[in-house]
Order: sequence, then structure tokens, then C-alpha cells
Amino acid sequence: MQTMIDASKLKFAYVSEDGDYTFALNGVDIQVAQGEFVAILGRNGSGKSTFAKLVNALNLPTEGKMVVAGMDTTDEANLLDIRKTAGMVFQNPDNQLVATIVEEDIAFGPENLGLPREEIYDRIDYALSTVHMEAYRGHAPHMLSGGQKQRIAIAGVLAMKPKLIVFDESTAMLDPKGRQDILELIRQLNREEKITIVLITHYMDETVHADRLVVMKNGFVLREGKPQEIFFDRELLAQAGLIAPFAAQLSMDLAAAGIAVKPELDAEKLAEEVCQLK
Amino acid sequence: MSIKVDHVSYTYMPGTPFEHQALYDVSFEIPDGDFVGIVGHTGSGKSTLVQIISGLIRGYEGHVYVNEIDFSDKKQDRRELRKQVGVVFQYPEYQLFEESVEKDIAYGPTKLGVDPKEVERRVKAAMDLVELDYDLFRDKSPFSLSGGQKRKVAIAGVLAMEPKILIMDEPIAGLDPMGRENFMQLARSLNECGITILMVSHNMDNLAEYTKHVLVMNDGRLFMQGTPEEIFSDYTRLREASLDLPEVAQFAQMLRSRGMDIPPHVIRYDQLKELLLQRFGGNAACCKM
Repeated sequence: MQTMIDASKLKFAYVSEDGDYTFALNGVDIQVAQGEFVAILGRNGSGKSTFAKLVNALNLPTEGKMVVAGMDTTDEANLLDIRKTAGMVFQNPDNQLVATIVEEDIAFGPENLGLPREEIYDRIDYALSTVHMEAYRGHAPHMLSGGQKQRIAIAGVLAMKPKLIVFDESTAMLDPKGRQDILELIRQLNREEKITIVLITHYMDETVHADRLVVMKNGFVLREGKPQEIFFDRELLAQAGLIAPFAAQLSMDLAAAGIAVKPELDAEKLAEEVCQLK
Repeated sequence: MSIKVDHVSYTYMPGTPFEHQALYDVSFEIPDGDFVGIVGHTGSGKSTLVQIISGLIRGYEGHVYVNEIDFSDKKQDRRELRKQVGVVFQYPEYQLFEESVEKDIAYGPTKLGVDPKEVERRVKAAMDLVELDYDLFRDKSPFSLSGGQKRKVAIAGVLAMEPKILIMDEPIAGLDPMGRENFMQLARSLNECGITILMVSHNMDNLAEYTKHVLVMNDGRLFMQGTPEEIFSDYTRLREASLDLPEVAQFAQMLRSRGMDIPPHVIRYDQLKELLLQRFGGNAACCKM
């Protein structure tokens, strides 16, 4: 299986006006395989978003290497292919929508690739049906709700037929329903469209279904593992400044008080277990 | 300081093809010292409402009284309102503009004509409240900070105005879980110092833990109001407003649906934990993290 992201000894520094270096990434090794769903966790300022921007060459490494689908991001000849391969969805959909009609917004990327007209229409159809927004083809994006706008932003990325999408806190501004919708859509893209997902989020419950979690702190990778390996490790969570998802927290607290429940990430299963207690 | 919203309606761009009524006849009162959460789905009118209370939107129908002064009266001098009511918008870090953290925080009180010594005291106090080390951060450029730190600077800038009422629109969106928790604790301690707080948020869990009252907006109308216990245990009505229960209340509901007898109004984590420990004979003392 192809490696979609291969970051090795990756360092990145922001340079201030007076020439001071602030390292946001201090030597990071992260590999993501094709088709994987990886979530990156960590406190504000831990380097997650910086890493995301290195994936599709919005930032270039200060040291070390970032290779996306076999392409080194420092080689300028790769730039267009990298941008086609790795899509990004940011936090605020308002900053990502460029046109006044949904359809035109989605066409923006493919048009810039110089694709033939029919191909562009095919891609718009594909993108809109995948995000379940066919009915909004002729609407004005600014009249849509936050969740709908974010769907259109995702459709715009899908129209580029990416192999990988990085979601950088793409649900942070949404109401609970919008957040739920987008999360389901992200999982669908991974499952059905076989798109590799890198999800950056502060909502731990969004990550319990990920194949793998990467926990970052101060520009380093603190730990990688399955959600079960991360969320029941209190020491690690405390060190990374994270809070376990609700069910994990409650099952650990109950177990610590001598009540016989298993560590559990899923609230429904925990409820089932609690109801079996005598 | 109290707030009274009396039959307020508001329409955006009336008489144009974009005419849109955002608020319909909204009335409520917030007593001095309250900590109120405002929830509602996108487009429910929350932000319009807080902008009206803050005096940023005019031309609405009805009256808004802050400390019993009617600020819907166009002749009313609104400088008093600006002094008493601090507003933290969504993504306040975008409001930063000065070359150093200290200057940015000092901007508001300096413009109010506060004595420089007093400004310095306020800047220190505000940075202390948001837990930014004065000596470490005062000379840094706000633009060199992380997202969470920038937000703290922006909020410190509002706190340096020493407002009696603090209105915050989605202040915890984009913060990490610890950041959210710390922020809510900051809001609580400000509230305990006597500041009336209005907080718009999508985060039901945090609101359930910290607020004293909750307003639910739905399609431009005040849909529910009450204590967090009342609001966050009414699944049916919250669903009507396209909202969700906090995780704890959802879990309580899961237990009830499996036949377990769980009292109503269980919405906070510690409540739920204590309840289960009591019922199943756990030892609460060893449960402390």
C-alpha cells in the first residue's frame, strides 16, 4: 500500500520580522498510509495546524522532509500535483468559498486545471452528490448555514479528485447538528470514496472511530496509537493536556472506584454495561 | 448590572430582496450577576440578539434596557453602554492590531482617558486573569502567539475596560478541551467577581457545567429559558430547536431507556458520577484523579 504522507525529521520555524526563529515543529516523523483515517490531537500551539500546512506545501520544511504520495514538497515541479492530491478543508468555510453560486464555487478548482467543460460538469455532479447538496447547485453560498457551507467547501475539494484530505478543525465553528453531519460525511469519504483522511480536531469524540491517533505536544509527536491505547492512558492525556472522551472518562472513573466496568469509548456500550451491574 | 430585552424584533435589509427577519418579539430579563448561556442552531438569531444588546445594531423594534437605561432611545448617549458592556466577538484574535501585547490590551482603557499608571495596573490584572505572564508576554508581538494565546490577549483587552457586563459570542470555539475548561473557569471567576455574563456557545457540555441560566433561540424566537437543569433535560424540545443534549444528559437518557431509574435534571458530570457510585457502591474517595 502506498504511503500518502511521509514526514521525516520534519522541522518548521516561523521567522519573525527581527529574524527570530520560533519552531512550531521540532522534528516530527509521521507516516500515513493510503486509505487510513488518522486524527491528530494536541493542545493549541502543539504544531497540528503547522503540520497540516506542510502536507500540501502551503508551508515548506525548515529542515527534514515532507513527501506526499511520493512527491517531495520542496520540489517546485511537484507543486500542482501535490495540491491536486492533497486537499485541505479549514475551520471557517467563509474563507474558502470564492464564488457567488454554489456550482461556480465548486468549478473553481477544475476550471483552473484547464479541464474540458464536460469533465468539469461531471466533477460538479460527483462532488455535489457526494456531499448531498445537489439541491443547492444554483444557490448563493453565503445564504447557506455553516454546515452547508462547509459541505460546499468539501465539494470544492472533492472536485479536484484528491487522494487525501486534511481537515483542520473543520467542525469548530458549526452547531451540534452541523458538526455531526460533517463528521459523518468525513467518515463516508474515507469508507466509500477511499480517501485518506487526516483529521485535526479538539473534539475527542470525533476521533474515537479513527484508525490511529497521533498526539502532539510542543512540536513533537508524543505518542501514536489506536484510540483505545490513547484515551485510557491518563498519564499520557495529562501530559498532552487532553481530556478523554466522555465514555472513556466515566468508565475509568467508575473502574477506579471499584465498580466492575470495562474501559469503554462508546457511550451506548457503557450504558449497556452499567445497566448490567447489580 | 441587569439587562432587559423588551419585545425586540429585527429585520436585516428591510425593503430589499435580501430582507430577512432575524428576531421576532424577543423578551427576557437578566438580573445583575447572572451567568447566562445562549444556545441555538446557526441562523437562530443568537448573534443578532447579542449585537443588539451590545448596542452594535440599531433600528430594531422594542426596547433594550441596560441597568434600566433605555438604549433603544436614539438620543441616549451610548458611551456609557460601551464602558459598562464588554464584547468579545467570534474569533476575537482577529481584532488584535498593536505591535505588542501590552499596547494591545492597553488600547481600550487608554482611549477612555484612564491614567497611565491605572492602565498599567489594569493590563497586569487582565493578563493575570487570563493567565498570561506579564513579563514574558508584554513585549511580544500579538501576531507571534499561538491561536489560544492570541484569544487570551484579545479577551484581556476587553477585561482591561473593567466591564460590568461581559458578552461573548462563541468564545471557546477552536480552543482545545483544556483551553475550553480553563476559559469557562475564568468566566465563572469573573462572574463571581460580580460581572454579569452572557455567553453564546454551541458547546452544551460546557454550558451545562458552568452557567446559571440558559436561553434557547430558535428561528428568531426565544424558544426556551430556564436553569441548565430545566433546559438540558428536555430532550424533546431541544430536538425541536435542532440542538442536542449535553453528553452527560444523553448518557442519563440512555440509562433511562434501558429501564434504569435516573432522576431528572442529571446534566453535570460529577452529578452522574456520584449517582452511579452511590448506586453501585463505589468508593468515591479513590475516584479522584
